[in-house]
Amino acid sequence: MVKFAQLLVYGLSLGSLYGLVALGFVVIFKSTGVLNFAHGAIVLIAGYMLFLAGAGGLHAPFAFAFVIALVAVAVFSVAIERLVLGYAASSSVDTKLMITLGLYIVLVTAAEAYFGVNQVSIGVPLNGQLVIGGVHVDHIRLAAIAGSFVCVGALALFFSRTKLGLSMRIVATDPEVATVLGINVQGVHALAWAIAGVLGLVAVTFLGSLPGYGLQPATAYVAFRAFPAAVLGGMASLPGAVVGGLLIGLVEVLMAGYQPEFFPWLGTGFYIVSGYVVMVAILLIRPQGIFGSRSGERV
Amino acid sequence: MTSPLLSVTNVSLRFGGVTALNSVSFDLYPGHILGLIGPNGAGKTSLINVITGSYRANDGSIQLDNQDILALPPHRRAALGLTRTFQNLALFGGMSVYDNVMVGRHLHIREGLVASLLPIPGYAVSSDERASAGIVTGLLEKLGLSHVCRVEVGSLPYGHQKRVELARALASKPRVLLLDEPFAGMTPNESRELAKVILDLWEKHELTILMIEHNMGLIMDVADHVVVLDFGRVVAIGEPHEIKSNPEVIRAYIGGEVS
Repeated sequence: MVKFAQLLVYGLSLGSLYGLVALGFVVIFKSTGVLNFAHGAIVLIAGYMLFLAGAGGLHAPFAFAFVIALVAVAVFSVAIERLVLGYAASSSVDTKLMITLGLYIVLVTAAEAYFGVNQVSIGVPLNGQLVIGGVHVDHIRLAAIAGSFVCVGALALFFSRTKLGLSMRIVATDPEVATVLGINVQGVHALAWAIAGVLGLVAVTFLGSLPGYGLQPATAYVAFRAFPAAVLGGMASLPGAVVGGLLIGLVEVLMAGYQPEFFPWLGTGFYIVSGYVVMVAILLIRPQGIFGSRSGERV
Repeated sequence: MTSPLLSVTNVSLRFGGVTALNSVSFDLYPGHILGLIGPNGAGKTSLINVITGSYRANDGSIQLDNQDILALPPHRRAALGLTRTFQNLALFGGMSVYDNVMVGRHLHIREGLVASLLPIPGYAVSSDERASAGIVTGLLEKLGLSHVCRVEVGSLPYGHQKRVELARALASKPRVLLLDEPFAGMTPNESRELAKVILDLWEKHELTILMIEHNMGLIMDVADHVVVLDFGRVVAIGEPHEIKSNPEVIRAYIGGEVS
């Protein structure tokens, strides 16, 4: 029982961060129609920006370094969107998808060449843990859960209550009409990328600070771990991405905890792909995802 | 003589080797209704797309109130007062009639970011928003949509949806209203009724309208001037009675005699 509770804590904290990364996919997909496979690279680079602003370069205090990284990653995301995808604005979404896949590989390789493969610490100054009935709860895990829920709440408010958020929803529904209403569609696309980048920074900050984790080029892979969460949620649903993230996080951690004992024949490391197993299973039952709406198409 | 509100001069549009518009010129004067007619594929919708900025013209100039707008992106042109409706309905099907029309007020509602984000009941509604609510309610009444204002748009009959789109376009207080086949798909009765409403609004709000329409009888009745396009060229411009008897127009529509 203690083991289960312990895994639950691990799973929820990891899952909330997957949710944030998945939200990055969703925000961009929703408003631009592009499946942004470069997201993992942006998350990674956001982490390295924080590293450079803090321990690895400017030696700014953590809060200050975080603000610097926040601005830097927003600018970086928008620059990528404007320079690469803005240039391909009239191409099909398939072309853009391939462009983002290429970008992922290039950016991750470049980051690896520059920073090396070794793990660096971006060190959120938050140590210590609670022990409740034998279950260890690191403060950083609580902060990760709290931090991601604050982000999700802020995002939900932004979409539902601000004019800019409304503009984003209009662009998501019909860019043609949005233009007629005087909405700068390209501006909205850029904003979506900036938001995704910022969410990525929050995610990588906590992810790199979890005990046993750090920042290294392989961190970019988190985007592919979180990707099933976005799909599960329905690809365009904000609450869907969060629930999907928590689900994938829990499944991965429970799998890592129990699979060697109960299903030893699956070998080691099966937990890494368990999110995809869940994704395939759920998509077979509900093709539109948990929160997606089934859109009837006239034939 | 007043100067034209919208002035299209020698506008050409090519897609690769296909010339969609070939040196098209015409003027639209304030308070006038300009009818744009022509056979299928003549370039009528392309022309509207060039005016709103969805397509970028290869040559020529377009001036709105003596300001050249050809270099402006579409959303800036909308902000200057160019609004359109679409040939195929472009509404937010899952939203109510009221909300669809309210969206048309987008350009006219300013907000404070903080006030919008803070969950203080009542406070977040800006004065712009309240004024807009009044305008929207008034428009819905004029267009005979008051009784369905809370109904989901997607569930309404086609004729009603056309009216909703018109209301949304009017809600933005356009200086030039571009209507792409406002009567398409309507029964003759529905068309006549809507035409009456449009003329009514036109008179009251001193609208300036550019209208694509296939219904010849209707367009000849309502338009001050008619532009006839064929294969991307203007084959005739004039008042309706001149157009009716123009041999070029008859040839474009019915086909020339074999010579």
